[in-house]
Amino acid sequence: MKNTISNILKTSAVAALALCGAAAWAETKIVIDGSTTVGPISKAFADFYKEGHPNVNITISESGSGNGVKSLMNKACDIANMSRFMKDAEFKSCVDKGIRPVAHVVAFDGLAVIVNPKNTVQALSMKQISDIYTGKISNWKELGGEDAKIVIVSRDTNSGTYETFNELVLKKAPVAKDAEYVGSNGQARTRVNTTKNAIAYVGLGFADDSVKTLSVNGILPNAKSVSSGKYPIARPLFMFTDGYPKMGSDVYNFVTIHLSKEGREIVSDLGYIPVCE
Amino acid sequence: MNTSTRNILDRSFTALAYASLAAMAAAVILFLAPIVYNGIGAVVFNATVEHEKFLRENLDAELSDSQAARIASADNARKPLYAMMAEYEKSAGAAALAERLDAVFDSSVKSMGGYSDKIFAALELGGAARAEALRRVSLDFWKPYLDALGAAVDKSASDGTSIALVEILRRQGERLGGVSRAEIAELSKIKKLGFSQKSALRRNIGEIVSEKIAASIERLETQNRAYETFRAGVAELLGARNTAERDNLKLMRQKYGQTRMDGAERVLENSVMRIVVYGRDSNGAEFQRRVDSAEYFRGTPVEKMVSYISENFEKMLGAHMTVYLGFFTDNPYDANIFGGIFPMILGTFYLTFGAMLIAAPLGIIAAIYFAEYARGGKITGILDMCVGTLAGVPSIVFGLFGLAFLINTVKISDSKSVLAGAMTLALLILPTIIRSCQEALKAVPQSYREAALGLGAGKWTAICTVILPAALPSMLTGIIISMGRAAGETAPIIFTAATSTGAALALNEIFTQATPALPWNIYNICSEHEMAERVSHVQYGMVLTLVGIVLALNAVAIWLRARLQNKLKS
Amino acid sequence: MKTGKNLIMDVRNCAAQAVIAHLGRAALLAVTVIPTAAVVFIIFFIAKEALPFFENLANVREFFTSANWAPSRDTDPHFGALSIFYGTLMVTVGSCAVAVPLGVLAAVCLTEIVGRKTAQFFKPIVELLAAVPSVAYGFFAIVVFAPILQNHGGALIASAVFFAGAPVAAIVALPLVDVLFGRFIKNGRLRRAVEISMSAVAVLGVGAVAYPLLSLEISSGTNALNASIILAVMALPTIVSISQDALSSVGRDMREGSLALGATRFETVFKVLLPCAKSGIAVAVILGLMRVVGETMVVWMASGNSLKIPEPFYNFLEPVRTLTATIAGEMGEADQSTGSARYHVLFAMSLCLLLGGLFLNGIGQWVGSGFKSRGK
Repeated sequence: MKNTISNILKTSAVAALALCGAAAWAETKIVIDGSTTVGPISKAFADFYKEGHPNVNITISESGSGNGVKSLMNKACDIANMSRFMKDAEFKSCVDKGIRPVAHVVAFDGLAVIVNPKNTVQALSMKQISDIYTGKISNWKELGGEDAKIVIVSRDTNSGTYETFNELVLKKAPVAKDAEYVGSNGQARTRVNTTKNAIAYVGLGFADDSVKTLSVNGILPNAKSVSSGKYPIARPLFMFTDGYPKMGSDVYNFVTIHLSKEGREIVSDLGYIPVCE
Repeated sequence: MNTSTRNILDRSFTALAYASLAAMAAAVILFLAPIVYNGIGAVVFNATVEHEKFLRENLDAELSDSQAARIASADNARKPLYAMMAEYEKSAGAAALAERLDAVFDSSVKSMGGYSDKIFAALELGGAARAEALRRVSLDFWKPYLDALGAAVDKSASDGTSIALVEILRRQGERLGGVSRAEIAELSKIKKLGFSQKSALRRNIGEIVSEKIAASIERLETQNRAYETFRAGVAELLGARNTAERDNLKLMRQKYGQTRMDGAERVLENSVMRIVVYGRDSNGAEFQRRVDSAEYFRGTPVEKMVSYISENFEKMLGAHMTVYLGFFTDNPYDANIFGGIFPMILGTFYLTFGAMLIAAPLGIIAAIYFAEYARGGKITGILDMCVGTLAGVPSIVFGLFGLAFLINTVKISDSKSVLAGAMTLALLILPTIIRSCQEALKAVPQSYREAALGLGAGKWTAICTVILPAALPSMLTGIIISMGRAAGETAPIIFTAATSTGAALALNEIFTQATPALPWNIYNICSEHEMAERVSHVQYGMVLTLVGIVLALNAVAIWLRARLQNKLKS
Repeated sequence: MKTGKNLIMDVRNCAAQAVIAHLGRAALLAVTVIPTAAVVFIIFFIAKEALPFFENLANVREFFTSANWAPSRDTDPHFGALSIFYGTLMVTVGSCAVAVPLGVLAAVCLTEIVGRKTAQFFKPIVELLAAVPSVAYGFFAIVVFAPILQNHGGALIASAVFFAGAPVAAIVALPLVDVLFGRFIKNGRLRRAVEISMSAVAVLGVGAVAYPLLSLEISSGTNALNASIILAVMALPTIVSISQDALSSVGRDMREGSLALGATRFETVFKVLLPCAKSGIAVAVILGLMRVVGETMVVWMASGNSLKIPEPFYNFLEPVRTLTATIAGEMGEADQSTGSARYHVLFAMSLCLLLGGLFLNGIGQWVGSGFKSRGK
């Protein structure tokens, strides 16, 4: 018995060493935390950056905009992804802690209002969307669709996406009580894809073929209509750093990727709108 | 009650009880079946040549001859399609068309001089009359050009020049400003023109053409957008057309097409055979609708591409069954769309072993105290109750505690780290370990203790040399089962250790860096991924891996226990 | 043991060893205190962060009585967590309704009915259900179960009601016939006919209840029912294994005595075994309950997270939100360093959760001590 145990221990020790040996030895790290909306951009930037700088370990947590600020404030991350601008209170407590947040606008994003592909409704006005989300309209029939109850899917009240939507569309009115809350863009899309009578809003990069995007006030969201300001539900996406990063540092390189040609291509390939074009 | 009724009752009760067992077994099967089936699909699947291309170019995989041959034959099958697409995008007619339009454009510009008298006459008029007169004059000399333009636009869809035509028109639109300025200067030489006359002339002379060009461009672009959507679908299916294009693309998901046939079939169905087109409804509001590609492109060269793809779909992809063991040992690429899940497995491994290394010694010592030293009484009672209480604390509360205490207060690391996660998990499994070790010690026959003490050994010696070795196997069983629990817990590591993307860590980095780990990434990838459908096999693969790890640990524990029981029997 | 120890002390009479023994004992005690310290620390830290919220009495009243939850607003935030508490209660009750009868029945079957071999065969299955990580259950709930529930929910629920309800109804009908007509109908054949027809009527009755459910449309597959069922599966192993222990600790004599008196197995189980093992089974239920209340990932993924008390209040087909899911989902966004009310309200929730857990644990240990002392 004793032998067996020591054998087990030995084997596991060897296995542990083997695994450790296999792991890459990274020299520097960039820690990124924050919004799920900015997540795909930073992931793609990370893949792109790692090609040229294999020794940099970039970790990305997608835990929400508020968490991003918190991590930045506690010096727990180098870059905070945010889908909204920092709130006054957040900014103040950052400064109190000796952090000087600097915003880098990496891209623009439209919020696409999506429904199931089987839904016959094609276009809504801002007013109608607002009425749906505040509970004044509760049946697709009232919008020219089938006679079915509208399943309202909203992002969690804590997400930057929710705050943008609440501010731009609902004018800060409370969302109807029976709305369903989901934790991420992807989940919202999946819910709409699998639920015939659902409506949701997601970042433009998440609106793909599995759902149908509605036009808002007659305009469909795309690079052109968002950057020209025609599409009404749009917002900038930020990366925040503590102070302006030192020229040539990894963080500096990272938050300036979006200015390069490659960065702009990545941003638009992901379905967001590059900043300078 | 009647005896027979009682018997029937008894029997039916037995049946019901069996049914409950069956329900439990069914729950296991219903749960495991889809996960095992789809999870194996992450490793064994019907792959396309894109899979091998990816492996060759990113992971330095050696290709066998048959694989190379398959890639070559797939590339051959794609050639006609790419030729058709290239032909459409840069159609042969385009050069001729450009030339013809340019010629008409130039001749119209030249004819402007011939209208100089009429222009001067119009300029003599005042206000609205002048604008109208200028408009009529310019319509006259632009007429051949506008006719040619209208004809070209009408024909563009059916002869495949529409993409080129947009470019031609853009160029002409840019030229227009310079041309009209030069012509105005010419006219100015003939007759001295005032400032207001010049600006009126500038406004009217080019406006008609630029309006028409802008309208044509918009119309053509709507037309092209449908083709663009179709082309994007083809690119999603087959990847980059050639190496040069591949090197130019930035995202891995664009460089390579679908690596799996199930994904390829979905893309074919959703993005190639059916596409999203844009239109305007009666109120002028834009809308999206999905149309059948073959139907929509009927009568254009694109129709042939659609039918070619549907006929040669399998040939172009070179479908074949493959086993991709690298799923467990490769790094993920491009947000898990390609590659494996090695960093997550390694992260789970670190967290689990870390938690075990911290909790097992503490748990064993506490168990020894409870089983061998504690003499009852209030203090032991309180300690014992606290162990029970700790077992009842919800796992999310452990996570909060780890965040508030270990990271924010003690600052064992400046942000999330494997160490903080392992310590939180250690606290979580500590009560289980204590309880199981206590049971193990209790199970050691009292005679062992008496014999050791009787031989003159001290209590501590007796514990170390007799009792612990006797209890170790069954202690190990408990510890291994708690390791399984630690491996699968998600809530405690959300705030303390887990990130959604990151490299595999080396051993010296675990004290300061956070890691991806299977449980968190399962949540993350199934709810926050921008292309959740495309990575569904990875989701299942991760779940199966995690369930596999946990069940393997449990199996080891069960095996140990069985051995132990046999030993005790013999 | 005590005598042995004294003996050694006397024989060796070595002061140094006594000191070492005492030191060692102290060291052991120090380590043993760690779990206790952890519990104290956890309660202290959670309470410390929760306290600022409870200082404002208006907040507290709103917290427990209102369903208006809008903690993130800059102006006029609301902290009514009633719907969240209700959601927790709902999935707990729902999962217990499934897991307790099923679990106890399975435990009875494993200890009383099937042979040793079959019981041995089922043990790993129960352990397997217990070992599966909660995130895997959550994944199953959202990816596999939710679409099924949404698309074929009516048929699923109707057949579940029918196949679970019909046998139970038929069995219940039998003694009912006996009690009602036993005195009047002495003819055995006639009685059998009445029994069969009554059972058939009962089955038809269940069918009549189940049939309208067929056309039920479920608007969202992630709802209280989904979460309840998955949680029930998670709580099942705890309930089964502890109930099994409780049942097997009932002495052989009770069982044999009952059977010898002519009772059928059914009567033995219901009239003798279950009453004897009731405190052990109560512990099993409480521990299962604790697992359900404290579970995070499954409810976060499967419950739909809607901030509403379902209408009507027993409607399990509507999405709900639980305490744990709220904490996991919102903590990431609450601006912790600024010490916002929202951060503290989440800790207030954890405190409620923690105190609830302590309370359940206390009851469990209290009941359990009775069960243990009687077992011995």
